[in-house]
Amino acid sequence: MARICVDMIQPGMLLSGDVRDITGRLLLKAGSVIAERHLYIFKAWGVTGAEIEVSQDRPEQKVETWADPGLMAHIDADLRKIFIHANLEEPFVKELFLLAGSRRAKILSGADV
Amino acid sequence: MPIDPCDLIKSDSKLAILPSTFTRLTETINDPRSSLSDIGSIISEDQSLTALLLRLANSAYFALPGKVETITHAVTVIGTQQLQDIVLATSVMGMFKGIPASLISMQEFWRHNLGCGVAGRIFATFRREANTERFFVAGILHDVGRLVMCLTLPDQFSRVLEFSRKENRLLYEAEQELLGFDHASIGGMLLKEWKLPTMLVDSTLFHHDPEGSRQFYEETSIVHVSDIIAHALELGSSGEHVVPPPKSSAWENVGLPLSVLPHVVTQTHRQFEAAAEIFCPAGSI
Repeated sequence: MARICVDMIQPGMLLSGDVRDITGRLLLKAGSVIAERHLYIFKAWGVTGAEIEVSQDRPEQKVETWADPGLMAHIDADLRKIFIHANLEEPFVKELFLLAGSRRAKILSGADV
Repeated sequence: MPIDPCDLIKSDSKLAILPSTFTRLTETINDPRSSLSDIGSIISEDQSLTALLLRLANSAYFALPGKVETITHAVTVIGTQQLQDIVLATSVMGMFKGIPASLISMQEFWRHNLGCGVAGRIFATFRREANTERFFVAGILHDVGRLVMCLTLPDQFSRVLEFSRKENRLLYEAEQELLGFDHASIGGMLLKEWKLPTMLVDSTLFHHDPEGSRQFYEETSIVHVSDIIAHALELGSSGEHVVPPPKSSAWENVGLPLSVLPHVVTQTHRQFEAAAEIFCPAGSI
């Protein structure tokens, strides 16, 4: 499992946690496979990130290099170490964590930040 | 015996006063009889400052169509208020020489402070602040107390670093525990000694506890949040190896919606390397 920024979510990814809007309303359940239309729904309801499954054996999952689930799981674990003193449930910290992860993934894979 | 941070500042005669370029420049700018060429001649005496201001005036930040080749032209482009802030930042950056790399990497230290300054300036722009450059300087100065510690208490600071790594503690908490004060308090004292504006003193003194500042808690919250962003994006390093926790009211005090944060992060990333090339190019520090 890795928590990733909304701009890194790709169609074909498998959700490992429920996606809820800012008021807590359920938008998509854990276990669902992300489709293109879900991305519009997430953006429309102000979702900033989601938890996704990182197993590598999902051939239907075609993602950009920077959104590779293995790389993101690695970054997620690494960032948790440096965010150890911050509360990841706080909205500002939660958002910053996602943005830092997205930035690091793009830098590591040579994509534009 | 407990260490008195006031004594630390007074113990090093070089620390107590700001470089003469800054003080002479401030006097000249505030003198109604002075002209642009008077300002230019003070700057021209300092070669590295001249080169930096020309690099800055010709950078994408000002995005001018023609090339700026003289210092008087650079001063008109930058503006005297911003010039004062930039000269202050570079004067302080040049003051701390001879700190061993085993304690702190000066390049990484200034890159962290620069990252904080760049993020602060972007927040200030979103807030439509009149003087965005003041936030840039506040970011550059916010951790300066740590350099005072490295200069005056190298052995004790080395133990603080070791303690914080070993015990997985925040560096400023380790400073408070082992020395009885932290880098923010000594930095604030130094800026007060230099008679710098209260906004700069407070944003350094309270950058880990912004509501400690009565008059400038919003400005200090911006520096507090910008410091956290510089840590999270790993822009340089001030010796701290983790992201300091934000105070619960900090984001509220910044006064911007959370939807602004992705833009601040993207712009900080874009502006940071360009600013680093101007203010701390590789091998210059």
